[in-house]
Amino acid sequence: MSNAAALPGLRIALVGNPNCGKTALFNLLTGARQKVANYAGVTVERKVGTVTLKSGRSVSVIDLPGAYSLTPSTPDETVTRDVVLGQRTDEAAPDAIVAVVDATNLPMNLRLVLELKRLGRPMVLSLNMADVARARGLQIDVAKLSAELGMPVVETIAVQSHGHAALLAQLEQQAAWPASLAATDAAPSPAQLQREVRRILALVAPGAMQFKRFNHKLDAAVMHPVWGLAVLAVLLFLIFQAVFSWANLPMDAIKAAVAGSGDWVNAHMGDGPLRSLLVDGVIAGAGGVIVFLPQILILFFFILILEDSGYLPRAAFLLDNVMGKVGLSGRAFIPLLSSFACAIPGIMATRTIPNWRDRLATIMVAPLMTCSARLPVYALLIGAFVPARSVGPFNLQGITLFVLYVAGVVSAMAVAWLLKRVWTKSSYQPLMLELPPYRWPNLRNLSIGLWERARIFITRVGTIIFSLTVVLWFLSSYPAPPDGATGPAIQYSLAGMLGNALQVIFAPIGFNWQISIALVPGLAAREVAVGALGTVYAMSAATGEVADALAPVIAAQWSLATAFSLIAWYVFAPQCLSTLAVVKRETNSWRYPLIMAAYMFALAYVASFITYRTTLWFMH
Amino acid sequence: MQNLLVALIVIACTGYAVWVLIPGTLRRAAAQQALKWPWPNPIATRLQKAAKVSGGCGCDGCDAKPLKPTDAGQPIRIHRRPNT
Repeated sequence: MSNAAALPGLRIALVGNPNCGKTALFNLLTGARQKVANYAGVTVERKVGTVTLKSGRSVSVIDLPGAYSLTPSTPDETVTRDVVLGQRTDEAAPDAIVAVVDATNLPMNLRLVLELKRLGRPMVLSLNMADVARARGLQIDVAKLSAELGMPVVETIAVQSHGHAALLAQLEQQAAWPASLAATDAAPSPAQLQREVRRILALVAPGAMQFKRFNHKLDAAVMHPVWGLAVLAVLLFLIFQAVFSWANLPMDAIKAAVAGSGDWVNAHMGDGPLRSLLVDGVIAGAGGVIVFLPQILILFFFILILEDSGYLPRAAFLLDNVMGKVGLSGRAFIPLLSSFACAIPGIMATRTIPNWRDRLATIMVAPLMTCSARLPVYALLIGAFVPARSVGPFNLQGITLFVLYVAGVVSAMAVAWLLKRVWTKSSYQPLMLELPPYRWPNLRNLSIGLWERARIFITRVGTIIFSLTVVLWFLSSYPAPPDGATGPAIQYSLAGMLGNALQVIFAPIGFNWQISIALVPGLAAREVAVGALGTVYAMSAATGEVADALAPVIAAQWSLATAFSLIAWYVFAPQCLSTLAVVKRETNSWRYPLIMAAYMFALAYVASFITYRTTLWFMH
Repeated sequence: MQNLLVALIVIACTGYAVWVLIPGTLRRAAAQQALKWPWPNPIATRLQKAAKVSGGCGCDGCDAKPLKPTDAGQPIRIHRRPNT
């Protein structure tokens, strides 16, 4: 064993301004796949990973939320301050600090470095995006910067696979990092710190103060109060068109594979409960959900491109006026946008909102944004009931999906408006958000992001969705029908009894007993409802056609009013226990998740009732 | 034989679904109880993790110190650019 390996483990913290590349560097160092994007506020909690150096020494790397100073103004900045200062009850301060700075934005980033230096801990400066700065003509005298700051300075490129080599080499020599005594004099004001930053930059990077980070001509168009909104609407519209137009081929291939596996099991296995479990439970249920993987990936392909390009914070500024009118903080845009993937990270991202009442209002409306778990439900119902015909150059199914997403946004705005007037009253908080420079989406980030979404979806299908469809198959199969029974066996089963009991509640909004059954496992995760419908209809069918495709079966058996009513239900309904659990944790109270569940259930029921009755009226 | 296999699959899936869906505090208590028994290493590791996590989504960041709601508005301070 080498001397280094014999050294005790090292704990280092990555600290820096928001959006300077800490998480990208963390991913490079530790092999983790934490979410990265080109805007501030992506990381809102501390993450820990491990890297083993060439010498064999183990280093725990702590990735922290971005902070502009050690005087926090938001809950996520508080996490950073507490970890760095060792103020957490269960965790000592890190042994050393890696201060990460964006080399193209030194006037802003170095202020925090000077604050960190006063703590007297061993430090190294990671000059990230040094390649971009150099390519744009910004000369930085690294040796002089190191001398001025009194710490080693290394250049890193966190978006390149070996961009952390210099930092790794420095970690090997961590014992040699200088550590001054902690400052005991009064902390300098931000203005004093800024003067010191200017003094240092005048010596080491004279061009830094005049460095142009933004494309003002492009921003003038993209952030124009009228044209900017039009660009945003067109972009979103095209994305939803692509979700339906591009997904057909891979979806058909997966459908064929699912149907083929059902046929194979039927052909090679004797009749019995195991065959029924595999064909009617697993293949019709979980297999029916996996079909929607291509649509989810296409949607996230575009979301990831928008995230990486730097466009999204600009959209936040565009919509700040609208958000302000309904009483939400402009900072609510990023949490609400995160909720398009899943409400849980969206709710956690509300930690970037400093005002508690604004934060609560955002938490309460975040689940109304259309999360990716709703996509399989929407896609199934749209595929079954909306004809795939063209409307001008567009696809009618894509237009319908766009309208459903808009319905989620509009309902969230309406609920926020109401909440802010009757409950969480607070004055308008102006939006202050650092705009990132535009950049071309990074292929590595895009691939990792898509892979992660695919992995998350497939894992859910293989674990909780698979388990619940098996449980539902059991409940739909037992007890066996009595002698002389004439209806399908499921009607006499536990699930059938449950469905018939629930139908009393749901009949006024047009739901039959099969839909009523599917809503129950759908509480675990919304997309389980699709698998549950697959299993329930497979158990009700005389032949094996449901294992092949659910959409034609429900298209033949449901009225248009029932389908629209179920779509309206899913725009509003709180069918996700995990979301309610996270709301409980973030608010430290059961009161808010219970209020959320109650208001969303009421909203869903009323919306479905109105949709069902109106559609029936039009049809007659 | 088919009946036995089906029973095992249904029991395993029910156990998994219940484990995943029960509230975090119950899961933690159950894991702590279960750790009193000898388990194969992979299961024991998972149980130890479940016994430690304090609820919610199980992240290791904020779980360690739940945030307290505050209503304090943050004043915006504008710092003039120095003349120097």
